[in-house]
Amino acid sequence: MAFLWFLVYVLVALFFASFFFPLPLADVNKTMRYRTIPWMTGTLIGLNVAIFLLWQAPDIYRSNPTLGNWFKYFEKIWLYGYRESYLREGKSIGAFVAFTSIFMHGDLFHLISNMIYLWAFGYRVEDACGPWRFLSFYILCGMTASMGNILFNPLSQSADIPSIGASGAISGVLGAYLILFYGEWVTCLWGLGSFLRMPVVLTQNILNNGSLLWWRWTTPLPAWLFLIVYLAMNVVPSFEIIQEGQDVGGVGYLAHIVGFLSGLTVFLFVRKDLLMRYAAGRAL
Amino acid sequence: MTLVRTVARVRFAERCDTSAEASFPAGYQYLAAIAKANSAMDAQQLFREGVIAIREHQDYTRARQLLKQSLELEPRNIQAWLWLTRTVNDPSQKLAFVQRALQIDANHSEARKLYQRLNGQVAQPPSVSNPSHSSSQLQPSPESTPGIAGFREMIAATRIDAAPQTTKSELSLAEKHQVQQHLGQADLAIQAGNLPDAIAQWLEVLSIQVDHPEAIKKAAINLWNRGYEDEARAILQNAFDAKTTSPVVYQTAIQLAEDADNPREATRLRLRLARLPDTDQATIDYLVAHFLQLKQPKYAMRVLEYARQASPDNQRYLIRLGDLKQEFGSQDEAISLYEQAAQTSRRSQLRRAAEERLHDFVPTLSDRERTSVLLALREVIGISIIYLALAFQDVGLDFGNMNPVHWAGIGLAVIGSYLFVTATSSPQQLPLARWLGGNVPEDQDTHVPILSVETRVMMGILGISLLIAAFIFVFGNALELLIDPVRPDDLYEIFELDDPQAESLR
Repeated sequence: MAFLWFLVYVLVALFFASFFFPLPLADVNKTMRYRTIPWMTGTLIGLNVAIFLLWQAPDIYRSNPTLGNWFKYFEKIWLYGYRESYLREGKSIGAFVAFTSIFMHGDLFHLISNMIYLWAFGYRVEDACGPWRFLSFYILCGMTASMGNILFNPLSQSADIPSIGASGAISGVLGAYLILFYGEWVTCLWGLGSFLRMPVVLTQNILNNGSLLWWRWTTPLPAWLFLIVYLAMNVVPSFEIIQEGQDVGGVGYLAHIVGFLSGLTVFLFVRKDLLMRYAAGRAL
Repeated sequence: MTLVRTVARVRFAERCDTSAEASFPAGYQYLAAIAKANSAMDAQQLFREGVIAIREHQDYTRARQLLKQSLELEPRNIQAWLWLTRTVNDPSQKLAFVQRALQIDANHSEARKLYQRLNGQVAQPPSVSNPSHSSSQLQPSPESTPGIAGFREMIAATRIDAAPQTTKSELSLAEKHQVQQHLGQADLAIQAGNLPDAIAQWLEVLSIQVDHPEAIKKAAINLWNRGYEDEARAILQNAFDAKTTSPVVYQTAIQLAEDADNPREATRLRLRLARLPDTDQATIDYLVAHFLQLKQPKYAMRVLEYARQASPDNQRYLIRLGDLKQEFGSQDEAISLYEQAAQTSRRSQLRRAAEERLHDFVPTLSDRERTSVLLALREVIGISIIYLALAFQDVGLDFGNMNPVHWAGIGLAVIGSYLFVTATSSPQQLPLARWLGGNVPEDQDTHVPILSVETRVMMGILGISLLIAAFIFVFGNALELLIDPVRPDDLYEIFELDDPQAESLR
């Protein structure tokens, strides 16, 4: 019961957050051009959700969590999260955390927001790669993001906090999307955008005697604009981390940036006919 | 062919109100005499049937055919010319028929009344404000114009043997000047309402350039409208014999074929028009639309095929043809055409249109992509990088700590991934597939050999085995820790717990 309340709370919070920052939902045309059923994206989402709901959530989403609940919750993060000292000193499960950490999440908000992004951009990248190459690409991006978060972060050794979450891998998917489908439009839940659209539509209706809907819940945005803004929002705090050695709210901005850049490796995994099209300067 | 031309000339001479004897040698005079004698009765019969077709059946197309046939045999039948005006809607055509009647009898009251009435409907009619002048304009004096009869010689002069393959690009400067002069004089003649003189000028142009677009169009149509059908055909034939590539010649011929109710000939000419290198896009679009309107998609596609041969890189033709192929069930051909259109130029609206159409299809690999070793190696690199990253993490993010086992693991990963990639996504690499006895599959659209299923299965199993072995090699330390993890002791400090307390909390 407590979990359901948390779920409602998170969804409402996401809805209100989307008033200011657009929440991507899908391609405008929901295109699946190469007819790949995105079952790997679905499986990854299912796996992330299952791991959180069945393994992590029971420890914290309860009416009165005890010290034992909190201990078990953190112990899992400490054991299976991506942590520099454990990697270097060979503790915990060693380098296996490269896999486990990208399937763990800190809380419901972390999980849901990541999964929404994975769905919105992942199914299209999977369409261009095929499911198994997409999985390889996803894992490579996740690992690269985790490694980059340690190698470029001057705080990593002193703070030595385990990092968890799929956001590094998902950032790689976003980077790949920007490279491959820069001309696409993304349907976003964006309250501010819907309000900004209203006077424009009303004016158009008056001038052209039109009958356009004056209110729409979703707003289409150019994918390149959305993703560049996403990148910029991660670049600034990443520089703070690198230059000033300050942790910024426990969010792995640096991992996001490295993951995003590792999206370039998508050229090693994209279908070969599409690679040739892309090399010829054609839209995919 | 010679005889047909000869008879045509005789008929032409008859219609022009001149004696065949004056223009042709004795043999031709004989032919003309025979033609006259045999045709008189038939002409009357045809005329009567034409009138019946109008009066009783309102079948104007049939009536027009009958009356024209009648007039071919008996061109001086004024009533036939006047009845002919009822079979067409175009006032200028009606006027041309009345003028023919007035040429035969300038004082024919019915013809004059009709002429005056029609004259108000036509944009550029000859002036009839003074009836006494009108007859002289309709029957031009020999001094001012060569006379209709004189056209025959002019047409003969434009024949291919007189002006072999003369096209615009081959004209000298002087000839071009002459052409301009004649065209100017023709314009003046038209303004003065002197059509015969204008025709004479256009024929002069055609004697210089056999396929001059403006001259041939105006001359042929005016001759045709005035009933000189053979002559109109002759000047077009001259241009065809000279292997003209001027679309106007074909368009004019199509117009005349349509007017003569000869759809087969019109279709043949339309298809020839589509093959010309100078035929523009608008004309091709029109031809395609025309055939589609007539529910003749085969011809529409053929038009586009011909147009494509003339302009292989024209994206519009490629896309349009692709659309038609798709509509009529040839999906593979449609995809191929869209692909070509999409590859033709880098950035254009038409390219985007082709891309949009391709969105409806799953792309297929080309043989170049299938046979490429580099594209296969690309995937091998991708998998190998993952193994390298695993090894790097297994040794504590320091390449210096990597031992020979790790490097061996990476080596195995490279070999294993190549075998795996070859077995799954690149079984047609050349020359590998050929070396290993691959055959060209019959059920696929490819011309290159593919590895047999048995070979692929073997390679796949071997590849996966090597990749598993490589994983064990590159992840050796992590695997040991997975079996016996080292508990994170610093967490106990954070929670201020000792081991027994932590154990009890678990």
